[in-house]
Amino acid sequence: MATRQARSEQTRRAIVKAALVVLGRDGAARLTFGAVAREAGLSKGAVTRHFPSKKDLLQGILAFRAETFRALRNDFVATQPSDAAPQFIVGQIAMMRAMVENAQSPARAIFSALLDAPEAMQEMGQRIASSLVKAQAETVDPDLAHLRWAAGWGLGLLSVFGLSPFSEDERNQLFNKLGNSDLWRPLEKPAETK
Amino acid sequence: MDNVTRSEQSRLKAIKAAHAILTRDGVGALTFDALAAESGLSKGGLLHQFATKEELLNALLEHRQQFITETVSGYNADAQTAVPEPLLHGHLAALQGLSGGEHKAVNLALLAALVQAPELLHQVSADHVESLAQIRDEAVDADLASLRWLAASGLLFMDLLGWVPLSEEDGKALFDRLNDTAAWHPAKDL
Repeated sequence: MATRQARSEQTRRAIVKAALVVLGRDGAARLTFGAVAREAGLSKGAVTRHFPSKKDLLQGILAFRAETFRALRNDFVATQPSDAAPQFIVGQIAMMRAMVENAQSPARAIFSALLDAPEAMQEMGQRIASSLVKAQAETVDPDLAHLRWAAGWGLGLLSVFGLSPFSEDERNQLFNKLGNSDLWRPLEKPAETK
Repeated sequence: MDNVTRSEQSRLKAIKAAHAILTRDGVGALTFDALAAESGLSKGGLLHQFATKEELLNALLEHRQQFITETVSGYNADAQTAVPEPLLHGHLAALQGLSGGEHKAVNLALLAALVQAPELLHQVSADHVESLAQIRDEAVDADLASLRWLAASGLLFMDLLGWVPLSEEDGKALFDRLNDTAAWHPAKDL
């Protein structure tokens, strides 16, 4: 039998999933407690018990997505040949690709909602900045790692925002090249000692 | 002074005021009331000029595109910039221009439109399609040229969203690297 805590966790997830449906279907402006409650089949009170404010709800959505993308990255790393130690940046690129290709994640609506939530936005920024630091730490050329990481985000965000000039085939090819460290190694220049 | 010039002047004044509001108070703060207060123009005059928030945002996006187009053609007109991929370098110069200093505000139009009127972004998307077709066409390696343009775009997005602010020093080093033709086509590969 599910414990009270497990049930509560299930309800939280159901609310977050309902919020993602509302965001994807109706846009950030229509993300209200009433709409989420209707979508989840719960009372408004049940929703606000789990997420007292809109900020809490957005943080719940981001935590859920971070978890989903982490799982995607781990699955991806598990499929890589074990002879070469998988690079952190390769997993990051796979995650950016998943962000674009995962139709279940209304990334554009989430970004719109985020712009109204400075604290959630800041937390997201901290996660992203720390991923850059890790990608730079594993290479002899931090500037090149920074540019490769930025190109991945550029392709990911432009696609999500509907601003990408690339066809699906071109996008796939660019993500393949971004994820292929053999293509980047010849471009590496050891960092100058400052 | 004729009416066209006068109207053009107040339009520019309004655009500058909008940039100041976006930079200081964020994309949510851009209203006609705030714009009137900032620019010293009357709200009626502003509404005559732009009619709707969408038109105002569109004017800001056009201003941004104009900056890019002028930077690219200025770069190409400069006889000293003999590089194998002049359009890529022109676009990198434009993106570098938008990454810091006074023109950073010009780029905020993108964020404002994204939040408040995403349908306006079709034109930006069309401009990207045109630019990238040209960049890929002239490129030694079309994908590598695309990735250099994407890296510059990614740096700008990260800064614009406030996730990874680009310091002046880092910005300069990274754009220098993006512009360094030899760094992207190591001699041994040729």
